Amino acid sequence: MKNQNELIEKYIDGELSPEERQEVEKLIEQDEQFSQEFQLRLNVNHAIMENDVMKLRENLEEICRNSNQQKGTIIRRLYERKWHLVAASTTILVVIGSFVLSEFNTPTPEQLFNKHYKFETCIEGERGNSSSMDVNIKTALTHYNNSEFTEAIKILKNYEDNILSKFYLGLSYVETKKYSKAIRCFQYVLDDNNNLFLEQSRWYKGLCFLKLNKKVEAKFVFEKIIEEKELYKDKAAEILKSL
Amino acid sequence: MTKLKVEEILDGIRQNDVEILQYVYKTFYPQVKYFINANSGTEDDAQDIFQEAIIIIFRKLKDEQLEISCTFSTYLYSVCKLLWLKQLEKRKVQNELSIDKTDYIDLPDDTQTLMESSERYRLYQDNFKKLSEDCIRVLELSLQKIPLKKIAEIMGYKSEKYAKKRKFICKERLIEKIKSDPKFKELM
Repeated sequence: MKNQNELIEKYIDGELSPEERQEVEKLIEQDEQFSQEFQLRLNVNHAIMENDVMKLRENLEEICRNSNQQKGTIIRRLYERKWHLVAASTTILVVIGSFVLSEFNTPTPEQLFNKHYKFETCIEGERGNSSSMDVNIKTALTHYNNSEFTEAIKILKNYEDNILSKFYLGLSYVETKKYSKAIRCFQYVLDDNNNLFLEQSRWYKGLCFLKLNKKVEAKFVFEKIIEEKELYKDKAAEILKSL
Repeated sequence: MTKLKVEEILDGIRQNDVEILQYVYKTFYPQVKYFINANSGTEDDAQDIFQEAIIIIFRKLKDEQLEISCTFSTYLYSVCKLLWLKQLEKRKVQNELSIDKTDYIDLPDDTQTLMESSERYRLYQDNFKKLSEDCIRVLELSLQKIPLKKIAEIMGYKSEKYAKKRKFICKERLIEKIKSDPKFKELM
């Protein structure tokens, strides 16, 4: 069974030789049990990549939870009003007060993102040779500077292997709250490893992880910024203190 | 918050905007709760159905398959109604609705299929979140196609080979958890 599972995983990861792949495809076609196992493992991969759905569910659960808590507080207050009006009010004030204080003391990843993310204007021609820049990219960057991010995305999306385009596509995704897509763009710039957008890409990638509440990944990115003594090292250190 | 237009609500759901989601909850949840309570459901059931209905709408938006020609509330209640009927069927409770005064629309046929796959994905995601932090990260990083060498570096593993082994172990753990979840047989 372990071998079968291993074989399926290797097939999904594209680690098999053409002959082995053929063999697996034959099994998927002919062996129902094998085919079900393959489908399950493939769907599980798709499901756990759905950060947006998981985040939405978390938000909805929190909204429901908060509403339940509020109801509980109101009922409790009504019940205790007769006997312990003063004590109850004091307790509620202390609880709210300490909650507010603790909120101030330790900002949430989202608050950290809001504090540190600033719109970055694109200064055409400062990097690279602007005269040789594709006219469509120029148009897209103008859209970007005018905060017309959807228009910018439509154009920049077509430039798969252009670093400048990829970087501003990433920023446009941040502006349209598509953080996972933005991370993929910044990662592309980082993987290229030979351009002038590396430090900014790492910084924005870290901020996107914060926004997605992925503290561990964010921490890793900010640690790397400090380790590499990059432009944003002081801000990264400030964020790390709160994580 | 002032009354929002359908487009604004849909945009808020698409963007996972907490403020809009709060508005949707405050405005439309009471009716969902009333309906579920009146048809053999608890408050927990109502919250669950409400959340899943929003997820279904989100999935439709994501696939660009959503065209609403009625009010948002009619659409939402129609999704909730279908979800709850499915739930009653599973619980083998009589699924004739006693209170059915709200306006509903007939949803496209593929909604049922989407609901079924969404439920299965929820099972996978819930079990994924129950894994150790280490396993969650290894699986996330591998699915982001980050090279094993880099994963070993991030996770502080001694070698690329170990990262590969760890990834396989974590995936097996997840599959095991999913298969032993009581909901698994029900959904497959």
